[in-house]
Amino acid sequence: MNYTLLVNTMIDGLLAQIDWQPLFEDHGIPLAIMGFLVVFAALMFVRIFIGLLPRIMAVLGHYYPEQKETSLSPALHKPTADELPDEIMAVIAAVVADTIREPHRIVHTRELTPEDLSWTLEGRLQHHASHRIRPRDHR
Amino acid sequence: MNAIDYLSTKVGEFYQTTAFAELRIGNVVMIVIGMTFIYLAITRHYEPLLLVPIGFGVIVGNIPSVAGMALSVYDEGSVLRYLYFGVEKGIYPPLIFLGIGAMTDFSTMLSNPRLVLLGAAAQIGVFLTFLGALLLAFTPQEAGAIGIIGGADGPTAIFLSARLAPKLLGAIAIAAYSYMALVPVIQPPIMYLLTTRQERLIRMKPPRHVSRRERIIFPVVAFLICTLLAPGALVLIGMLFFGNLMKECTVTERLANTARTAMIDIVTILLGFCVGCSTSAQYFLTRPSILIFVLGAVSFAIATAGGVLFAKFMNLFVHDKINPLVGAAGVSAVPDSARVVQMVGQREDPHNHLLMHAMAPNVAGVLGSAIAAGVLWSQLAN
Repeated sequence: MNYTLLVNTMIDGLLAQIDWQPLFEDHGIPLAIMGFLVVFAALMFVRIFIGLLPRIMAVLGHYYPEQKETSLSPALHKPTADELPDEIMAVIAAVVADTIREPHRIVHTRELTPEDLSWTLEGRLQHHASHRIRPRDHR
Repeated sequence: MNAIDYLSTKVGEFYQTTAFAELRIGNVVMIVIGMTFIYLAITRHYEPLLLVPIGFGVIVGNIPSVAGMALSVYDEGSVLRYLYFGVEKGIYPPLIFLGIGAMTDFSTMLSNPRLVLLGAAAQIGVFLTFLGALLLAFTPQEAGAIGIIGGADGPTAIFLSARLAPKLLGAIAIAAYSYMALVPVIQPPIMYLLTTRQERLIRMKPPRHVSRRERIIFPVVAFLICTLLAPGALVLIGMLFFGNLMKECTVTERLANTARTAMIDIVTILLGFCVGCSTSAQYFLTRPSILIFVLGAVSFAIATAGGVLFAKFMNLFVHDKINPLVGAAGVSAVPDSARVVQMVGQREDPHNHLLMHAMAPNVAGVLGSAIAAGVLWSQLAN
């Protein structure tokens, strides 16, 4: 009951405050309509331009052929220091595909944690330990 | 006896130098609101990158200043005042737009240009809310700043309110970011209400491949089109497309990388924190603020409905039907509203992936809201 009364009071308060006059001034409905039309017109022009883009590209491509984008091109994709080369990635992918032998999909990926990295660290330690240490020649 | 008098006097004096002396119930309410923001960000993951800085800023901003010490964003000479300068003068929003441009991929929009119009249709929320604010006796400048909340774009809302209604900046910024965080809550009921199950099941054609050359030409030409029509949007749109050009041309990868990582992070921290700090209870807990929150919610709802209904309208004329859910992504709020479209679409059909389609009206919505802000600014500044 009190809740209804409160809501009614709030609505009455709002309605009492409503003033229709500003809507019909220059900065009212005319501005809203004009503003919406400008937004619509701008994006309509953008849409028309995007629609024409394939044709523009065809004309441009005729005179200035675009270099083909290939993700496997070594010139475009050079592995960084902490990234595996594409050849190694291809080998790993082939081994995974051969091992699983069933259709599958990736449902989760995550970054390596320090625990995961300890595997690599252990490999490095073993690798370093495998070298024979020779005394330096102090001649 | 004298010692006790002395001690009580000293304690009284010390009390006057603490913030407790000036702490009001409004400050406590705002501190609780700030804590709620942090809670929602951490536990519910509602826009954590924004709500954590804003929430903590709200807490900081509601610790009362001590007489004679310049501490708050409203005190001349305080450190927070200098940081707030970037908000007040509209410096941070364009820098955020630069970062957004450097991380935005316009390919989905370029591959399906008709979806651009959904981003325009959703801007109806901005202009209807503008009229609603006028009805409630806000000045045209204040009404323009409140209306832009419907653009669902925090930086744009801050940029415009700093220009048109600086006194309402705190309330408008908090309303804009709060509703952006609540997109997953606000949008789905409207989307369900305005669409049938069959419409929600519509599958759209996969987007075509977009060449690198197209992606380089687009930001330059689109910038010219938008700013020649609405020069008020020059700063926001200019920074957006400049950032995008840096990304797409690939020869400025270092610059693009900085813009979309370190720089946008720094500016987001400063912007969110400063906006939070500006919500001191005596400026924020006012009747206009409550009305702004009500109008903001209405604005979001109208914008969502506008996008969905326009998609249905377009379906009357096009052969390849558009899933009307995609229209809801026209309200900017990148990428949350696109994610909501994907989520709602997958509830009906788990194999229907609408995310990439929704990104087209989503980025078009960013353009639309920036243009709307430019129009309102140019018309209402004087």
